Amino acid sequence: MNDDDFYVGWRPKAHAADRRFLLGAAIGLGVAALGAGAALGARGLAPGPGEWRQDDLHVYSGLLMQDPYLRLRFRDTSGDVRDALVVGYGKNALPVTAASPRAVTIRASAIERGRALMLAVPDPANIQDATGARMPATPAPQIVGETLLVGELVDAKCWYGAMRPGYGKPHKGCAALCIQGRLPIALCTSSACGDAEAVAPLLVDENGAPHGPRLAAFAADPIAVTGVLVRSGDLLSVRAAIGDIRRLG
Amino acid sequence: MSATYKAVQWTPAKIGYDAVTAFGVLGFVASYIAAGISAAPDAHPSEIQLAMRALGAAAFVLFTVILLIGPAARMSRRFLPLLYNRRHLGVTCFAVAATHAALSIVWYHGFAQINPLVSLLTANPRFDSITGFPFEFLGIGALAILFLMAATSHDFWNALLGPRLWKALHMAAYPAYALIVAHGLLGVTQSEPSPLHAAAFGAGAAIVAAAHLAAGLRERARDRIIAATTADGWLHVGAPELIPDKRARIVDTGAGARIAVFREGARITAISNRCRHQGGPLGEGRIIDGCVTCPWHGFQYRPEDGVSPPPYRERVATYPTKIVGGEVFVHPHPAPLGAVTAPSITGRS
Ligand code: FES
Repeated sequence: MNDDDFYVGWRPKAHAADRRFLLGAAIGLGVAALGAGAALGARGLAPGPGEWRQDDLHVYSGLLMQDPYLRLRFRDTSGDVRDALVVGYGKNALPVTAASPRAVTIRASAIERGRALMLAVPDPANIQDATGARMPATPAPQIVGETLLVGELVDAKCWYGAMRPGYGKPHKGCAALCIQGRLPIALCTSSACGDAEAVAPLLVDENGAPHGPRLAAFAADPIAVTGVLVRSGDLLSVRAAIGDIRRLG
Repeated sequence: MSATYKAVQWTPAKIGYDAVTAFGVLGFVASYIAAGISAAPDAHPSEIQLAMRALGAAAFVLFTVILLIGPAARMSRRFLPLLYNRRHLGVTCFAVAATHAALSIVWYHGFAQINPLVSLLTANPRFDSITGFPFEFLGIGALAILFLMAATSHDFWNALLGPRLWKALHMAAYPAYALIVAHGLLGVTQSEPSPLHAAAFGAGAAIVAAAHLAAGLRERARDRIIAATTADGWLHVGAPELIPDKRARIVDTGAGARIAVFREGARITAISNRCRHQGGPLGEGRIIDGCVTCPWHGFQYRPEDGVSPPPYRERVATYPTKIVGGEVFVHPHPAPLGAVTAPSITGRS
């Protein structure tokens, strides 16, 4: 480098050699930035097939009950009986109870992951008592058997598709808030919670009641659960005492 | 330099530098999001969550580039133009990291009855676990340091705090980088099926460490070449012609200080090798318009008194020189700051 090449940043113009080098560096860095972004972006955590069609509100008519979370049993357009969890729009459960099953119409948007369905209600006033409609019968819980399940503790709303992805460590704070807000808690039993085939039974206490906020600290953690698997309509849940839930990592 | 301060003294070069930076960051983020969507068109992560991750990754990559510019400029002068406006990269890095943080806090900790910041600080109490560690705190620490550095990156703060305190503050870039690597390794990579993100964090840290090691080794080798010898308390510099015209030879006093001995024609002068601005190596600069010009950001000092030309007021130490038997010597004790030290004349130009 000769003296004329000496770079002084406050000079109005850099030397030709510096300009050539900087142009090359700018092009190189630009191409590297695009390439690195694409390589990293293509290999992120898969969210799974869940989806929340938030602006697509429909009216559902069925039986609203608390079992153990707020849920609606209804007939879909093909006449099949379906069970859907019913939640609010934020990270809180709806301030609605249904101590005994009652017939209602609900205007809500669907959060759907495969067969798993959740209805998100933007306003409690969207739930209206209904009369005269033919309602499906309340489901009888069936005990599937004792089980040991290993997986990640998730909040069902995010995992069903409210968040994409709605699991994993970065999502822990969100899952903890949902659990503190008394939204349904589930156990994603797959080692890859983003897989289309992954299932997530609800996690309830030994009596079938919600664990509630005490499980918030377990959010997004790998856990092992010893309990009893119970099916109630479309909803699968594992009943386990708090002492039978063990953190693995 | 310290006459008056403007937020940015725009030049075409700075505009170009910032345009390339903006293109690089936006290009990285856009290609990250586009690749995330096109990798699984029917079941891709939400755009907002992709943006959150893309911004975090962009801040990390940009920070890595920032930390590589210093060693690169020590290895080759060609990188000096990147060093000149490095603070623009630092401020951009803070802005990108802050956007990543804001988006993450709103998305993951908002939409609930608890204050998002309270949720952020209380959601994960697992400080006793490595894999479960609340990585958010590492990010908060890094962001606080990045903010401090971005807020004090202007020369106004350098003049106010003094170069040593300012430099010490900005050396916090290294702990901040370590915090970001840990934030990534204990956060997003914990759930990733692909090892690519973890590898990127590891590779970034390894490259930064290797570049600093290589630059340090090169510096040490250079110091050995210019080792000074003493005679009557003076340091032997060598024959005047060993010093290129308008350039310097750097002499190590052996007491931790370095002196830049300049020759301009027949005039020999000596000033501290340490620039008042950010400690740049004045001995690697050159004399322009009669002033020693720092290679890093172009601060200038008159060789005979070490004072910046008006209207600037920065000062560095000067050292007495003498020529005995055709050889240049420099005294290791500086003259009082601002005092004129007469140049030695070689008798030939
Ligand atoms: S270190 Fe900035 S001009 Fe010398």
